[in-house]
Amino acid sequence: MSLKIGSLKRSIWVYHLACSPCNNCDIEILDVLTPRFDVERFGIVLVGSPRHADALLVTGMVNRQIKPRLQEAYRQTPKPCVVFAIGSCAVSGNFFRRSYNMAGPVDRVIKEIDPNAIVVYVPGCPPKPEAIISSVVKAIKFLDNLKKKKVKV
Amino acid sequence: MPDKPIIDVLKEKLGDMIKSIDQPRKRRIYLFVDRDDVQDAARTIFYDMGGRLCTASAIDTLQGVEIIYHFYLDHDQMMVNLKTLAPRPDLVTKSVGAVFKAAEWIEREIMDFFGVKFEGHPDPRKLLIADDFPEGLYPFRCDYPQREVEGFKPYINEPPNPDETCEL
Amino acid sequence: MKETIIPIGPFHPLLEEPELFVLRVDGEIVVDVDLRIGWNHRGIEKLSQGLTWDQVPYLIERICGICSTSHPYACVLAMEDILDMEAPPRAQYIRPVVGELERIHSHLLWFGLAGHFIGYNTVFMWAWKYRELVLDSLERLTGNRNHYAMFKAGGVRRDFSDEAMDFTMKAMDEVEKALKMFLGVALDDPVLHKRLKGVGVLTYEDAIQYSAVGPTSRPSGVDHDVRRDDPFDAYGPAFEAGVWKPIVLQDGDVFAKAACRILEMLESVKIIRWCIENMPDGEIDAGVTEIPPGEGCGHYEAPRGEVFHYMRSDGTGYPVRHKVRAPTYNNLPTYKATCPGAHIADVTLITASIDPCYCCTERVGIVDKYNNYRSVKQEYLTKLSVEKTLALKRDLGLITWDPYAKLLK
Repeated sequence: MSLKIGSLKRSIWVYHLACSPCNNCDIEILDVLTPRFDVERFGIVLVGSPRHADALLVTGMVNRQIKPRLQEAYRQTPKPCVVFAIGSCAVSGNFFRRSYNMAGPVDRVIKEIDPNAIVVYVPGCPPKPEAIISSVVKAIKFLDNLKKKKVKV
Repeated sequence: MPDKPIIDVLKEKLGDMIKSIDQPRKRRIYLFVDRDDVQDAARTIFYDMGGRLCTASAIDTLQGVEIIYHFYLDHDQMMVNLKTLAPRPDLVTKSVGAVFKAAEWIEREIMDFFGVKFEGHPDPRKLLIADDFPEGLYPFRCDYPQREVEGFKPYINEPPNPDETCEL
Repeated sequence: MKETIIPIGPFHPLLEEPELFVLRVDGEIVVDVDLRIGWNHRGIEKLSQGLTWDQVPYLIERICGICSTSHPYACVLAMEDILDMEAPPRAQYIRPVVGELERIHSHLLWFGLAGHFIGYNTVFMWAWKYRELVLDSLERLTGNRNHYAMFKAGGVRRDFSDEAMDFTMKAMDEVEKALKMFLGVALDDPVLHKRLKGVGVLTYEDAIQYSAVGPTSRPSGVDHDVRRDDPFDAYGPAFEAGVWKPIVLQDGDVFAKAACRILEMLESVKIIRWCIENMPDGEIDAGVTEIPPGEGCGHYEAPRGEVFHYMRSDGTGYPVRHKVRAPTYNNLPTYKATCPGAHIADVTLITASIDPCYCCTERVGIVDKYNNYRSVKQEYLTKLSVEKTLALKRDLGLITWDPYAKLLK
């Protein structure tokens, strides 16, 4: 996997949301900041508030208690923004889709309030740090093409 | 190593509170007491014999909700499981959380999920269950309607719409 | 208006209302603590009743990502308790190696985060850099960095190869050097002594009353360790041979908890080396096909304490009841004993010192004594903690500028 450095035209700021995960995906996200993988050299920074973020990294199956909080965080993020659903639990619910406390995987919760939201799916249990970096790069390329109207959504 | 086997020490200290006692494995003892005696039995095992409360499990059976308090005696290398029953239809039993603090949270959890009432519990609030979970429904009981709960449907996976997605 | 601060569990969504901790504060000193949990509840025990016996460990692995060996280990021990059998000898030596490698990576993770909260970001980066070595050895031994899928009732699912074991022995030499460096750097620093000693003391009586487990209770003088008190697999022979011993300290403060974890990592390195050197040959699986009616309890010493699983079977292909108790569940109520009397800037450290597993902890809120509610972001709490460290450094004469000058403007 080769990172096309030229395609990272802007440094995106991400806000990390853990919505009842098993925390493995959260640790892989933190691993991405450590010296071995080191995305800070591309300018990707973890911020402390959704109001400063360009992208939301959401992990975990969303349970009933935390669903309104996730929707509130999405409303506070300035648009345009991208929602990354990281891990199999966020993409489809994984084992927990039949649980009594399940409130839907991430795309169902976000599309309830915004049907035009852009959601990027990163499957894996957990996805390796290389997969997370590759997904961020592909998403940025896609958004760039979207802005230049080369791709329709 | 102890001088006497733990099973004899238990029979001596608890006397006729014990309805049945058994040691099926080298380090596991299971004993059954009545719901009125459970506080005294727990007090003896925790304070006099130096047991540590691991947790408490609850199971829904035909006679009622069976509650098992698991203690581990670290110095004597023995696990003592104290069983009691909260019989139907009212599902009431005495609270061990009033005897020592380690049992407070686990009894609150059993109250949330099974609907058992613990008399004498110092702080009977909700612990784990969601605030908007329907009242009167207890997820771990055998008669909980798994498929349709009022106001909530389990999620069924639908295949993605090919017009709205694209390969990156 | 006075404000109280509540430490927020590391990396949790900081949204408005919801409380995890409600601190009642008088000025700068905490008076009382109240907890509310439930944000991470996924209904795993109920799901486990619908899965067959060999599918259960896959679900149980995903209870927690950091202790992803401890839960299946305890679950498999509970199943073997129902069957009244032991695993074959080679499996008995393979399982502790995976368990101890996981203990090292979990403690290094905690160590890095604790350094981040105090303000030493270099410690954070270094600790996680050496953690990558441990994850590399795990990947070569088992196939994955995190969810290993190695455990089944009656043995393990895959064998270790010789090249992977050689790599692990070399990695252990590197990790041991790094741990000895951390021992010197972290525990001999005068700033850390002033910052961490005497903070958040958990007394022996409180540790017994709350039945605290693991590295939360052992630094308070409680001498218990599941690997020694209920021996299973290769831990019993290793203890008899004098390879390792549990670390029990006397002070009960945050400093003792940090020291306990670093020393435990050194003991883990010894266990891994002994198990790999003395590994017997033979088969790895006893071939269990069905579980008869009965009940069994299994417990294991996870990095955070004792993990307890209780299973009951009635002869059909599904468990009737599977009760799971994570160690943080017993350790969280100890905040009622350690937080009152502490300074606000220390509450972040006190909550981090029990090493709360993210899946068990949620957010915190603040209420002051006039019942004015204000929710505070984690950045602010971390900033307070870092500023206190800088102020201590200034008192010791290590720096010359005043970190509180900004606040007085």
